[in-house]
Amino acid sequence: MTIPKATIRRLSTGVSGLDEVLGGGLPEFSFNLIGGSPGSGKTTLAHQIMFALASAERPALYFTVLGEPPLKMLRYQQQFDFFDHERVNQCVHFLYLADRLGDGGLDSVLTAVFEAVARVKPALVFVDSFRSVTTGRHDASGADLQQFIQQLSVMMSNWEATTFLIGEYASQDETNPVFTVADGLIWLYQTSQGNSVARKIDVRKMRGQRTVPGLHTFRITSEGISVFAPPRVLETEPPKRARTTPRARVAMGNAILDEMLGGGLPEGYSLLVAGPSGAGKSILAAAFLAEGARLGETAVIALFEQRATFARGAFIAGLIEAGQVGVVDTGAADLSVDEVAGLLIAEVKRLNASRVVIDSLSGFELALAPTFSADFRESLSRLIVALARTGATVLMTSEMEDRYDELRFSPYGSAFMTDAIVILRYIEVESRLKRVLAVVKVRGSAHSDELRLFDIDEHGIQIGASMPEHEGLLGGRPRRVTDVAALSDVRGRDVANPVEHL
Amino acid sequence: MTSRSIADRIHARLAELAETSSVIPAIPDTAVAYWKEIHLRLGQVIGERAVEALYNRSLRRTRDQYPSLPEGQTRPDGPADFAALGAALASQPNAVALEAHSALLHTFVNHLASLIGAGLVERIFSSIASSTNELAAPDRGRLK
Repeated sequence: MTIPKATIRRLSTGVSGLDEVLGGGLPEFSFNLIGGSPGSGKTTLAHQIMFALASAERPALYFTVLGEPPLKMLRYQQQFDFFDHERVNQCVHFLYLADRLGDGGLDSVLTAVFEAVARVKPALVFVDSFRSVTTGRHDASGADLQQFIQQLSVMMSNWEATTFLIGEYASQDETNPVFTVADGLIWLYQTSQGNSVARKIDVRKMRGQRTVPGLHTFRITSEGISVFAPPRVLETEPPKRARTTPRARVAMGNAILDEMLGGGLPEGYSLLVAGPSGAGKSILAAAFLAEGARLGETAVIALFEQRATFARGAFIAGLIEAGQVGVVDTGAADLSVDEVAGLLIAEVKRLNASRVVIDSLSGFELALAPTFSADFRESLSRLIVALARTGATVLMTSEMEDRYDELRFSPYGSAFMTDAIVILRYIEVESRLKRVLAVVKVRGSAHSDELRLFDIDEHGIQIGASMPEHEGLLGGRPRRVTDVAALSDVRGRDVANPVEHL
Repeated sequence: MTSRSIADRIHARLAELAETSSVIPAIPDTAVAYWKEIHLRLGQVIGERAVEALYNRSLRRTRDQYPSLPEGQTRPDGPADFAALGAALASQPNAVALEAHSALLHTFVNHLASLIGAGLVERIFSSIASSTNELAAPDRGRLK
């Protein structure tokens, strides 16, 4: 006979993305510290959790001790959507204790807390806030803050209350006894760089469960706090088994390109379309979306360079209007890759989308807060993996200026991240600016190695012939092959001067 | 129900008291009891000093129109002297006392609503109103 273990119920915080970072929610009856500098969002986080969890069966008690004056706190917190004043004095109770602190010190505060807890019988207790926990300051009555927290922790655990202590802790000194007492340590950060502000959350500890380590970005809007967990955490489906059958092919909306790709893009692949400005990357992406729509598929697009309603004319706008193409809002300032990843994956799931377009990675990088640009490549890699797990086929465009002194097929060193690459280039032929495209890579598949001329007209991209009579197109010094014998043998051979410079 | 209506309800109870009670200090006593309850209940939420500051400011603003009201504390967060309010109301005829008190209460409630919103004021005051029902009821025995 086995003796049953204690069951720890996990409470959903009501903060988008936080439960995932916490490892499944907040352990019931846990004693948690929410720390961070002024303005980092501690009080907002506490209120959002409180209003999400409080109910008639689970009343909440919010003590204000040394935090912002309650008049201000209530004034500003009620601006958030989660603040429901109908529940104040019903299942959400506020109690001001700063006067007690002044009158009788922490002993008096502790007594008031216990009296209120005995009266209200809360399942959730919030104490906002203490600034000096890490200094170990003693108050006049001899009860220091650490003792206070220790006693509070024991009391609340016995009361079976999930408790939050909110404070402007100066550091995360892990040797601080207070941090040992706590079951959970949640730290909020706010960093500024230029005109950019980035907010990050770090769950340093959550006893009894496996959290997602590291700093995770979050945003505060009128809806409250949204945490952007890394995309791999958001993905709940088990990874697909090793494939034993060939992937189905996805039509790109251009029969010749499909042919060049070896019969279309393998399903679930990520394709990078790289090229200079105006070369036709977005038009290729639009054809990809339109083809999906024609086949009855749904798609998601993240636009960083053009507004959705203006992009590629009325047809795509119509698909967006009809709900066949979902648009991820990328207009917010100081984005992070994880935020965009979360939005994309949520939209893919909502629409059960089979196609995703990110137009463009260059605009994406520019939209990021500077603090996130440094690890853009790593974050992008996570994003691509996460999108691949949704099963959607992904097309990303990327600005890449033409360079004729080196052969590059992708920016950011991202070539290895994607399964397929198509490049677009400008070339000069007979004093005309022409466009060519080539399939650089399709993982695990045969594909064309031709450079094909293409034009853009009102129907999109029209792919033309290859240019066997020319070589050196990508090197900036195109030459016409004049020797007929050499022409038939031009590929890969060093013909003794069979060309003339154009 | 708006925040104004809660002040109206208190005023209506005081008016009812004025009509039904034969006890002279019924209105001042009940008004003071209300303010003590407001001080206690609202003070638990926003702090007693914040309530006192609001009360003193409301007195100063209302006194322009009703000079019979006490001056209130010079310091905005000085302790609220509800006894002085009671004495001032007692010195006036019932109708005048009722009107002055109503103006004071409305000023206070509206000022608070401008800070924390009418909805939240309503929620907080509803508990005050319910807890003071007995005080407002025309129970002469309690008022003596």
